[in-house]
Amino acid sequence: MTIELSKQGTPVTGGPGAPTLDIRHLTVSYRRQGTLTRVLDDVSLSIAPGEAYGLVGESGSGKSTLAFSTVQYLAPNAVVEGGEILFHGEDMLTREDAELRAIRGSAIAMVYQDPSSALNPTMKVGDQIAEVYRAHDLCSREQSVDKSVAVLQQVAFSEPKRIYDRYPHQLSGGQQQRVVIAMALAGNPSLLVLDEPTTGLDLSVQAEVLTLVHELHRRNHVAMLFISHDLATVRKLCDRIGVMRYGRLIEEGEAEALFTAPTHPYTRGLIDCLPREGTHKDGVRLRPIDEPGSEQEAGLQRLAVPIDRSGVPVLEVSGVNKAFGSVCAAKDIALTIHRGEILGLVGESGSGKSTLGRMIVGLESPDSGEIRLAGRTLARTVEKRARTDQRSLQMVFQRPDTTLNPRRRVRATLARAISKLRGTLSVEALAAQVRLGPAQLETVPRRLSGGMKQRVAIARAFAGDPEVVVCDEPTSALDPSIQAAILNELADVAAARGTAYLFISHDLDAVRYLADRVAVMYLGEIVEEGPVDEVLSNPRHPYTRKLLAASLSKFSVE
Amino acid sequence: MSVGSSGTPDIVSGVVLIAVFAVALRAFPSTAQTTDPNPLMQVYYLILPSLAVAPTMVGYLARIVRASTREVAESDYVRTAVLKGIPGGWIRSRHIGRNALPPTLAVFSAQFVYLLTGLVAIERLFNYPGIGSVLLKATQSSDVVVLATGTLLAAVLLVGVNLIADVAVLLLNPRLRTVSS
Amino acid sequence: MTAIIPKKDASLPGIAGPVPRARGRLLLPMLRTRSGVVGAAILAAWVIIALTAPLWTQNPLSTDALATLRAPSAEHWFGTDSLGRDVFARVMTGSSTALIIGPAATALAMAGGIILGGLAGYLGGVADEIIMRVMDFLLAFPALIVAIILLGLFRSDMATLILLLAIFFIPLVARTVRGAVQAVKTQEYVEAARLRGESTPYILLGEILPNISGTLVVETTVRLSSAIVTSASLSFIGLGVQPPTPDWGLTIATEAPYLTIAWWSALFPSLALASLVIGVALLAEGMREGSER
Repeated sequence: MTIELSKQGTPVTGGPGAPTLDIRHLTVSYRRQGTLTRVLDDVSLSIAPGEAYGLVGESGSGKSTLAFSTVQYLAPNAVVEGGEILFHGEDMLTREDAELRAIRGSAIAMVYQDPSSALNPTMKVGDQIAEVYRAHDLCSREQSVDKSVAVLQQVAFSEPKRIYDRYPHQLSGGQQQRVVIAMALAGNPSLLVLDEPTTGLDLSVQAEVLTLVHELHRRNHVAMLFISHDLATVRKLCDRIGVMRYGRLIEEGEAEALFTAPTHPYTRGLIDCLPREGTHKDGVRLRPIDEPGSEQEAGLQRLAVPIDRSGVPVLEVSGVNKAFGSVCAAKDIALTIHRGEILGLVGESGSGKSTLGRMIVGLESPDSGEIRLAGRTLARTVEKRARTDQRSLQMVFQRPDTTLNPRRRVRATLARAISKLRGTLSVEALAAQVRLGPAQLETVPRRLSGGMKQRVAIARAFAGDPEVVVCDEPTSALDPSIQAAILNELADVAAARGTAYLFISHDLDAVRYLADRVAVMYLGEIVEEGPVDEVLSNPRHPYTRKLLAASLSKFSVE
Repeated sequence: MSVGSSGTPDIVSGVVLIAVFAVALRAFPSTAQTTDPNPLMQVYYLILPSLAVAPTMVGYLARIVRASTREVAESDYVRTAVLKGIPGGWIRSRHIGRNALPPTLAVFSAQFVYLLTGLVAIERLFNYPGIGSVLLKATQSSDVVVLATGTLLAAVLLVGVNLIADVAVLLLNPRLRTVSS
Repeated sequence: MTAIIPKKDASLPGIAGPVPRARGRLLLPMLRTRSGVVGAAILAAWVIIALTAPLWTQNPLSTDALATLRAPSAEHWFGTDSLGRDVFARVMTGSSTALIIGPAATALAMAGGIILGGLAGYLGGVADEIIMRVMDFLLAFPALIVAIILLGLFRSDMATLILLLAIFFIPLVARTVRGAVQAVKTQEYVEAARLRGESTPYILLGEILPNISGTLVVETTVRLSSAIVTSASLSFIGLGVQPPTPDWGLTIATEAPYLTIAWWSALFPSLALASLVIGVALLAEGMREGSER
């Protein structure tokens, strides 16, 4: 590793035992409309050569800023108020442009969160890798092509030459991320910085990429800074872990030790708050961090909702088909949900689960088949449905940022929902059901956190006292601790009203907690269905087994 | 500056230019044509009218290019290129240029058509018998044949130039080439 | 200099994206930018002039055959034109036609464009195809040719001119509005509105429109500049406003032949026109800069 550095002309300081990366008392703020907001507060950490360091934190913790500051890539309005970032003994913050350019991509390389936007759409993928060699003058043009093909093979592509000629949009998300990793490896870096590299990828693809990273780390002995909000992933991958909150590094330690015996209450809260095997909504409340009263409530039990399996099912789907051109989104789907029941629907992207949810509420219309609500056949599109059907069947959406009209105060949003859906509660009473107070009622969505926005969305869906609510990945875009809070909320409201849910998610742990029964979808078909414990502990279909394996490889039971 | 130049109507530029350069300074002629067969002289006569038309178009084009370039420069893949250590010139040509060009081409093709048919005002100001003036006279004298031919010509030009621009965009952006993904 | 390429300013978590919003977030910050203030000042000045000019200028219509093409003097600040009329008075009163035609045409164009573009963008499918084909058809003809034909057929006056300009601009506005609506249509709060059983007009006006207000304001300013310039150009070539109205475009046309001997009679109206157009453009630029801060 030190040999590469001297090729770039930077002097090598520090002996063989010195840390690759040594951040000392780093303090960074952003200047926004005149005021300074601190994003990193006196952060110090060091990574030894070949060590994998996991940095965990929720959104707003400053972990991404820390990642980008290692290559001195900060926004124009960032102000470094103090500290140093020593890479092989030299402070990155004082480097000249030319030196930075020499280091970036070769000595320090980055892997990003969203691979589809990280690649140039108009350049061949292989050329983008070859660029690294050419830019750092490591070899000739012909040699760079050969080397690119070689590194593509290293990232587990079986036909590297064909992949070389592809464009980014012709590759899947997992393949794109492997290309980005290949680009990072090309320069033979001594430090690899990965900023949430698997967030947003499908479960099985996540497992694939993480396995690859693990392999590469072991083989190449590169020092790694792995940023994530998922403690479980980091635990498997990294030697040491640091936990960040509000710009401070609040705890640091060996990976296993941190997990089994965390000292800081926040770390403990992060570990405890997520649902895991053995917990179900019918007995246990989750423990979100920082929620007023959650400590006392955690002790309370939630009453199980009686499920009426003998009467008319509240929702029935039969023979539903839908195709988008040549892509099959739904093939002969049949589902039943009884009163008071929560049916989980799991699958990866492209499985058709979202489309099914949208067809049920009427946002899309099936090509054929029937959907019945309490025995009544529903019209294909929501616009054509009767008013009573509209109020009885509602949806909670995935992204909290776009689920509410940004120009309306919460009160107006809820009032409109109540009036249109003939609700009987007052705005205050409805808000109280999801633990929102008068202060939140008077604000605009912009000033609410993701979790609060999602609560408003839940309240809005329940304005007309629906019989069935379709939840389309309602927790996927939230931080882990907020996920716990929202899962609690959904379970509480269901328990209070006896509403049935179709809970769509790719998160098997959340489904295990919330659902009574679960159905697994793959390429438009339901491949397995049954009580949630049975399906998720003893899967029969090979696809379900694959999903479960991918999920477990991230999170192992105590 | 681009705001000022794109905002000025061409007749205004024309009038100002004539007033300043033709009348006050007597440096340029105030008409666009000459009977002198020397091509250099012909160009000389065309300078002022060209200068009158140019600012509006250049200003508008400049704004589009600036907006498009800024959007691309802030994208994630340019960030990737910077963090790969790619030199600035390379980034500008391969990463920014290739991706910022398509919207510019679209605007340019529209302007091209305007250049050929819509400059009636300038033609009148500088006494230049262009296509626009011919069409104007045709309406006033109800000359249907000329009118029909002119409209047809304009439509053909429009389609032709747009076609060329579309092909150029396809060459630049491989994402639009394949039907299946 | 730490980078060769400009990077986005880091935003704090929880703060919404950069789409400008009308009123509070567009007008007020605009006034804090240099462009915005200058632009607003120019426009305000012309509005005041248009409203009060008849009070403090000479009669713009009274001709004096004995005093044609006199250079600027104490009596005639901008000189006299080819018919002996006071150029200063004509320039000042001419502002009223510019300020009527421009905004009127723009208002009509925006109304028509929003309705058509909104329906096309939101409904999609067949309605979208039909509306956009009609728009494309209107756009295919070079503007001038359509103007020439229409104004030749109907009588040439201010009302026809306004109508004509509106027809020119509706397809352009519709296209922009359609794009903006399509971007917002897929947002989940619009789908939530559908699930509530809201009617299409309500969704368009109540949910979508307020959230594309930034785009709409920008489009309005662009159309306004365009309207002012195009109306002047049309008057210049003899279509639209007729003499002896002191419209700037018309004045430039009438006086241009005399440029070489009497520069003042065509130059001052040109400068006035330029200042108005630049004023609107600066205002738009100010709004853009203000919303980006």
